[in-house]
Amino acid sequence: MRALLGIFIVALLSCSSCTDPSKKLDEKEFDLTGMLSNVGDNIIVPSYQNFKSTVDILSDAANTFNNNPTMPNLLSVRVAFKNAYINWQKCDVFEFGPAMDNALRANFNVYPCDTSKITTNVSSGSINIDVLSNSDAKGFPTIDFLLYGDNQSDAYILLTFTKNTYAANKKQYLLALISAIKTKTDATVNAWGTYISTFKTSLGYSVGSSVGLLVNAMNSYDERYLRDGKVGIPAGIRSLGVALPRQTEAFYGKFSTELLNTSLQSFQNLYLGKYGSTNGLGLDDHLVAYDGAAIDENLRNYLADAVTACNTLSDPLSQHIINNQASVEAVYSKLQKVIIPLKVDMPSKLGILISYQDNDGD
Amino acid sequence: MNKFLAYIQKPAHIAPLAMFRVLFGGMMFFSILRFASKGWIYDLYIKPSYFFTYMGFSWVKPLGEFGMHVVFIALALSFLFVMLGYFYRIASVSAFLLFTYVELIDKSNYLNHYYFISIVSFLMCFLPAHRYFSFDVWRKPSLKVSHVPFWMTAVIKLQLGMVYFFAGVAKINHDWLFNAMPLRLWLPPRQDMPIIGSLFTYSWVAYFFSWFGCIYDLTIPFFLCFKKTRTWAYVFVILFHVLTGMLFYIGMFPYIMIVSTLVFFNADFHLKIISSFNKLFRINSIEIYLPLEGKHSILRNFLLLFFSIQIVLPFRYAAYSGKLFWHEEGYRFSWRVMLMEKGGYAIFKVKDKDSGRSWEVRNYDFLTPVQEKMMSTQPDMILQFAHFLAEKYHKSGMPHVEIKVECYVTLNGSPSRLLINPEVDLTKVNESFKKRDWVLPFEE
Repeated sequence: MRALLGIFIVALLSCSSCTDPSKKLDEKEFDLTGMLSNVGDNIIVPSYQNFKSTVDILSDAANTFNNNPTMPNLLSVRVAFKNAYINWQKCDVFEFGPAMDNALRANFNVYPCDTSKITTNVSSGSINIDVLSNSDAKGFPTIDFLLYGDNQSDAYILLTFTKNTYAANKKQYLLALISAIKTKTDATVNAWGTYISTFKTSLGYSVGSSVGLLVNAMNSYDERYLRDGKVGIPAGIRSLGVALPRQTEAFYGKFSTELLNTSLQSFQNLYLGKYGSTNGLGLDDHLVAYDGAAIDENLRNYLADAVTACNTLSDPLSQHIINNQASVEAVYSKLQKVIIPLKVDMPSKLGILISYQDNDGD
Repeated sequence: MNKFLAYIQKPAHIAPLAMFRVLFGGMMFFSILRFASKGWIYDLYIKPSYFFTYMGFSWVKPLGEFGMHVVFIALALSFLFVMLGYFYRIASVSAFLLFTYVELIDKSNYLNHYYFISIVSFLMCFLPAHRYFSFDVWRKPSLKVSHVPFWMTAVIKLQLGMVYFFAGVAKINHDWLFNAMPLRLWLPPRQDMPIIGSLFTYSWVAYFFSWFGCIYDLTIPFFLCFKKTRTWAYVFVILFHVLTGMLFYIGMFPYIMIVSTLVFFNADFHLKIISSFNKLFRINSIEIYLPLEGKHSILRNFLLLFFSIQIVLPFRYAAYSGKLFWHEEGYRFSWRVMLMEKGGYAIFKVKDKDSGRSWEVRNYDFLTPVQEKMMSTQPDMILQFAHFLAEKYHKSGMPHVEIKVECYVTLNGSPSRLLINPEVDLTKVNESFKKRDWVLPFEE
């Protein structure tokens, strides 16, 4: 036993010469609580609060329109809708905790919506938007279709709310969808009121820790909903090579690119811990503190490149895809580059388990 | 040789073996319940639409929702009956077969721990562990024996010792010893652990753990064998496994090892525990020797072969050039436990040669997160998935697709780089035991 201990000590001492001495006895130190407070207090909670106020405005506008369906009122519902949809982009990524409990993503933003189902729902007059079969006949994409129609004139859309056979039903449908969004938004904002302290104190890096939840949520969002949902699938890159321009987000309102840009920029800010013009503690700082400056540099550059590339796209994105698919593919490849350091290098460096599923390891 | 044979034939008390049966069966019974309670039967064996089978075992298929639940109920009961020693012969065989069946369904779930369970369950099928301190003896007293040939308990010790020793041998590599990798990546994130957590931010702690782990694995089987060192060794066993159990997501394994290693203690120790159940099991001090039968020598020779294979298997990697942790040819079934931090991302690029269309695959449409994660770092699984995709496209009317993969992998904190040659059409590659020339070398 004693001999072994001796060997051990000798080995330990001798090995100090084999590696970079500056890396010996170094201390990995990072203010994790500080980062979580910054992300929670300055990014997540304000994002939800802003979103909530836009939803409130949308709800008011819809009520006004319901009582008085005029063209100016229709246009103000559209403005409020667009504003709420844009602000949703800043919250979508936080699908854990309260958002997960309220299943926000599945309730708010399943697209493309099923237009024939929506038409049937309108003519039947009684819909239950909580049933699973209506998951693609509710939320923002369905409101988008109700408010804009498929390339129809504003005057015609107004008629569908006033004079057409099912005008009353359609108004009811619109109201029901918006009030469902409001209910779930309010519930989520309320829940964050208490969850914020859990979020800030759930330290560590395990699957259920706040960093674990955040990084896993960022990964699945970036991969599936940002890269694939907003660009890859409609452009055909992630859908058997067949362009599906009608599967763009906000296809009927024609502001897909605006949504994409908002989403990507807020994603970039989240990574940097940035809010307004203040750059607080974020994952970028964490990487630097954990010997991952090179990964951080890649991520920052790739994110910036992707933002620049997305800015070259124009609305309507569906038209852009049809006319200039190659440029959309170029944007896609920039988004693709972000995934590798985000999903492979960063979690490995920080010791975060990437798995949206729980299991034992070796 | 005769001297050796005489030595291993020497009668030894059965108590350690019987106790091992109780503990092992009990822990496994509990493990299966835990597995089910976590919803993993559904997540791992019902939900996936595709399963990564082992070479030569592609015929192993899951049995659907009802079937898999029946399998797990039968599996839990088998281990319970092993523990009780009730209809042990049937229970031990069914525990081995069912457990191994479940493990063969999908290599995404491969763990050295599960391999260990399969092997021990296999050994238990042949050992008369039910002939003492069991319901079988209570049911049929004539089964009772007090002594069995020494080798019958020794094989369990040998098996346990091999797990440790080979795990230690695997740790003798540059990354582990001289870079403290991957512990230098794994320890700092656990700094919230009570008491010692704050130490994990220092890299010397990672070096200490690496060296300690290596020396522990290499020496603990021997320290457990000698009476003089046994008690202290066992204290280390408990410390080591409790610590690793707290640090890493390794489920029941630490606890299974803690109770299993009790088999190294001598018969008196086990008899003391057993004596508290004295009356129920009619334990008395009468010595009854297991009758020596001709089939024992067949069994003994078979086990010699069995262990020889196990000794050779971990070294098969030597047949493949390049960095083992990177290409993983000859990695499994070798007790390489917690040796590397590896993460990857695989982008499958498909081209339909008939229509000229090309696209990327949404892996998550076909694979669960765990499957995708495991596949993204393991070349054989990447190839399997590519073949699965090719077949799928073929069936949907695209007989001439070309599938290439751009797969980025990080190993022990290295910057991510390509694992597979992105120019190779994987539909043209066949899986074999030959060196995989479509896997790119790891450039240091």
